[in-house]
Amino acid sequence: MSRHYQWPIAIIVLALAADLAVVADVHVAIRAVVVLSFLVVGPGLAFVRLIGFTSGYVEYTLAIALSLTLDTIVAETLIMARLWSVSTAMAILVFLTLVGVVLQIVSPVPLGQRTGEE
Amino acid sequence: MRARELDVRQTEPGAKSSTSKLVSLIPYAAVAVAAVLWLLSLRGLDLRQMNDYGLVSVLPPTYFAALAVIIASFAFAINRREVPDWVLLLHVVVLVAIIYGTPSLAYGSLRYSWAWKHVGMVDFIQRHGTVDPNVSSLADLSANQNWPGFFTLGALLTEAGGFSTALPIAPLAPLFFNLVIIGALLLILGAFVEDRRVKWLAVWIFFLANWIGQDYFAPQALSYYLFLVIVGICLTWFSARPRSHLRVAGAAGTPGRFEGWWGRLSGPPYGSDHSVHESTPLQRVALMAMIIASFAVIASSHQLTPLAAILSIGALVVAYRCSARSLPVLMGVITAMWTAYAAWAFLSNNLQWILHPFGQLNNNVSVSDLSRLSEAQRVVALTARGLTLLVGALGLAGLVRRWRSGQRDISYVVLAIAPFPMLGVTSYGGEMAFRVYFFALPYVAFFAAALFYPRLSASSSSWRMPAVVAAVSLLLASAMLLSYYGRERMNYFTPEEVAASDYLYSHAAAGSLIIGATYNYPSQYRSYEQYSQTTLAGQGVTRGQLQRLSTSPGDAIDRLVTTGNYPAVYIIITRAQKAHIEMDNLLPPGNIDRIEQFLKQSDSFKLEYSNRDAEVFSLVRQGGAR
Repeated sequence: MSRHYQWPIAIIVLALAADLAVVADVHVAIRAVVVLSFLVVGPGLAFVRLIGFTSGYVEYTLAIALSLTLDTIVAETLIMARLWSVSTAMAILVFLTLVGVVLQIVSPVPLGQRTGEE
Repeated sequence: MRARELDVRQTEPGAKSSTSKLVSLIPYAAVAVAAVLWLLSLRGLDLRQMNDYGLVSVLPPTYFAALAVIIASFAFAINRREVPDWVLLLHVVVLVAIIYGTPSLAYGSLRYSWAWKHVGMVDFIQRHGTVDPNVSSLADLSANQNWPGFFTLGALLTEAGGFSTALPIAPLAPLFFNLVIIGALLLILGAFVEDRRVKWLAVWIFFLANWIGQDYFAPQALSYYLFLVIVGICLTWFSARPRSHLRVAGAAGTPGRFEGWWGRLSGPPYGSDHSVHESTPLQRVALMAMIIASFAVIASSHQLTPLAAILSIGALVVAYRCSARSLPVLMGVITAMWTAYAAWAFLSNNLQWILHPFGQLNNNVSVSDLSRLSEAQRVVALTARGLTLLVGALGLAGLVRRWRSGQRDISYVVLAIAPFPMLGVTSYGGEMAFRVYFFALPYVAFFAAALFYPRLSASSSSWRMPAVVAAVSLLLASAMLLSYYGRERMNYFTPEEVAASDYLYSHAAAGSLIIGATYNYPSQYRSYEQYSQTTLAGQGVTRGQLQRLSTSPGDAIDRLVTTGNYPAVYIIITRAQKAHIEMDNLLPPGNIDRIEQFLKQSDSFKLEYSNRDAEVFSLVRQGGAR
């Protein structure tokens, strides 16, 4: 398998597993690990990898920060709009993650390498 | 000449002898030994025996051995070019676990009463599916209803994780936030600092000096992390370039007037602190979008951090260290919009006391009165202040040393100074001076680290620098343990105290008045808006009321219970509340025990629930408290 697809596939698997864990209401021990792992890194990693940084700690730092940011914005928007439902929130975050991953897959060159600067 | 330094790892290539190979294994072994010693130290802690010096009074020798081993190993490893970065990272992770993870793992219950209140805010969202900015049953939490960002995240993590309450995840907050802050600090320091010894030592010093305790399950912890990431992004990818219009202001080949004095101050060509991290326009657009989104989360989560962010990024822009020149304005607009629209309910009700401290610098700078504290607590408070001054002095000495060697770290200088104007805005409940320290700490820690390694040089086999780093680290760690753990006698809640609160909230009818000896107990974490809450001797109680409570508890309690028409009235007295009263000298010695006796003997109160650490009394109707 090409390295280009390894991370996108890992993120997709984590996102779908997290959504499945919520929808199927699996045992809390498994659900907590899978879902919290996804919420802490998943959405952010999908987009940060698109930006194309070469440094590992930069990528993970930005991925965690962006994940918490997206989680909060989605949850807060639903709550302020009185539309709160954890399933809806998870569905939106999984959708956003998949959008980021698809862009990663279809984009032959990350943003950082478009001009050969990174 | 730019003051950029080369990586020490690129120097001194050479063959290793078998002895040096063995020596190079020391950091790996030390990390494992320290981690094992620390985990062993968590077993069988008698937390109930904590005295007024806090958690240090019950920690076993294995804990201190773990700390000593990781400090000695770090001091050794940071000076060895062959030790990879990930091993230094492991040292920092173990240090964070030892200092910040111990209460989370050892207590078995959520520490700190405010964390319980924040769980209650998440509980509110879980039950109602929304927030209520107009809820006014408890003023302290009405601010949270108006800045709910963090709590909506808490609700998402709780419900998506399959929990019915945030109590299982909240104790992990200090460990989580401190671990992710490592990355944010590396981002900030990685912008300019290429001497990895300075970078890692700055991170190390940060965690040995961050005694403020704003890492618990609270909006400040999330906002601070995002704030650091925003600053890191600005420093790394939006570092300003010399501006052409300043150059053309002077004659050909000579600097312009502005460039001249600023250039002399900041060093040619505009200081040593221009990031070499190249980025494409598309990357910068994506990063700016992330900054704006993260700031929106900060603005909707916390009242103080937006101000710190605007001041910090604004200072960078003014000092020509950030090319995103309109970013502070945008941040101001986002903050103003949130405050005027979403948080107006809180603002309109509290504008008077919010604006009252504005400009009263003397009052805002002042910190809590030590004279009321117990003797041990005075030692703890003075140690915390000493630690603050020590880190500040190390930072100042480091700044002077680098400045004299021609290194102008203007970005870090302005970021260290930027939070200080907050002192003129609000007292923030008497803790503004500490919050200023908190926001300035990453940059002060950088200068403190730079004191030890002012310029790049090859690592040497000399024992002197490792010894100095170890000695300073031990000094900082000693002060840190006393400062950070110093109030744990009251911050820790025994299982019996938690059981008493559970009983109370399970049995109290909606609309009941719940009176704590102080607010320092697991309170308001369930259905908080359904109860009225007050205290006998806690926050907001006047000296006159305290005196009345001491001389005539019946009268004082009667006044509380007759203030409204409650279906039921409960009084809860716990071990941690008594610790709070003793540590802060809220009541004369023995008074809370006399009040307890009064309640037991009074015909007006019935002992509903008791265990060795807590008692819950209910008011028997008819005739008030006497």
